[in-house]
Amino acid sequence: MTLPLRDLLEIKDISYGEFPEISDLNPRFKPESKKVKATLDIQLPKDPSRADLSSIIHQLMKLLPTLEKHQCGESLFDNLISGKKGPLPATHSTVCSCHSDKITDMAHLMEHMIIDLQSNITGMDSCSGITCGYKNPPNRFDMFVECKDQTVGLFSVLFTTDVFARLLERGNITRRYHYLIDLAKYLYRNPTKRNSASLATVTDHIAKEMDLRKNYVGALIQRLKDLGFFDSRQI
Amino acid sequence: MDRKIFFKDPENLKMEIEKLISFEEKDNLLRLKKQLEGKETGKPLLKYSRVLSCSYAKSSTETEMARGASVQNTRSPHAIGDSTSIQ
Repeated sequence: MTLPLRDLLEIKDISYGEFPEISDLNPRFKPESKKVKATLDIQLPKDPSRADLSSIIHQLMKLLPTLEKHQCGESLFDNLISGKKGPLPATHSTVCSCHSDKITDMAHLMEHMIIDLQSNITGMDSCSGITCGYKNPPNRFDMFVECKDQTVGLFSVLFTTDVFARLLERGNITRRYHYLIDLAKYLYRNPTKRNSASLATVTDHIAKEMDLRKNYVGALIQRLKDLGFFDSRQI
Repeated sequence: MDRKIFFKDPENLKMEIEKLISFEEKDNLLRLKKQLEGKETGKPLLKYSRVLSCSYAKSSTETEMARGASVQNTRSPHAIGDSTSIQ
């Protein structure tokens, strides 16, 4: 029996802070940078075709083409495994075929997506992160990603989880996800329109700018709300 | 190769490091070991069995493209990766 989706990906906690205890684990972390931390339990679907990483990466590249430009891997860490100093992989597309731990690959890919979303929405020139897999339970991960804006950090975690849930369940990403990213970027660049009080009055304007129907924009805005994009609470 | 730390036997990590690495990298790794053990922060990370890291830094070309990007482009999925907030 296939597990219901809510049991495949479960967000245990989301928080925000500096987390100095992990700052040395990625030398690219900026000094004293704030980070969003997400603790996530991941299970793979029983149907192995639903957890095909090549297919998932292919879908994600269409949604976030800059994923290909991410850098993974440091010879410093490879040394701990192999004792050899190897070159850095040129792009992220080379990464996920390198090891067999699918759940870890999945978590790592989710971290990449959180990085990419934040970079694209907030315009960060650089963004770094780490994915830490627990000894016990082995399907639990802490992801730490540099974060410029708490709300966008929260949204990026929730959106990423939503996209992966969709991929594990259906194996594809609809056009709506593209529009959601476009709208999130648009609203971030136009902070006065991001204010919930003014959203109702600017839906028409947004619909024209994005060349979409007003009702559809309304539904997209509601989905962004569900994914925490307008959440002003501190995480 | 992915960036991945395995420390099956954290107690012997120092010894493993000694065997595996060159002299110039030793300081960095010993600093890393201290961090994993939480000696400086008081928060040991030994609950983890593997750590992977990644980064994304925009190239100068991408940054320039982003600064010049128009919101009119937002509908194209191909614009997603190339555009960012107008700064």
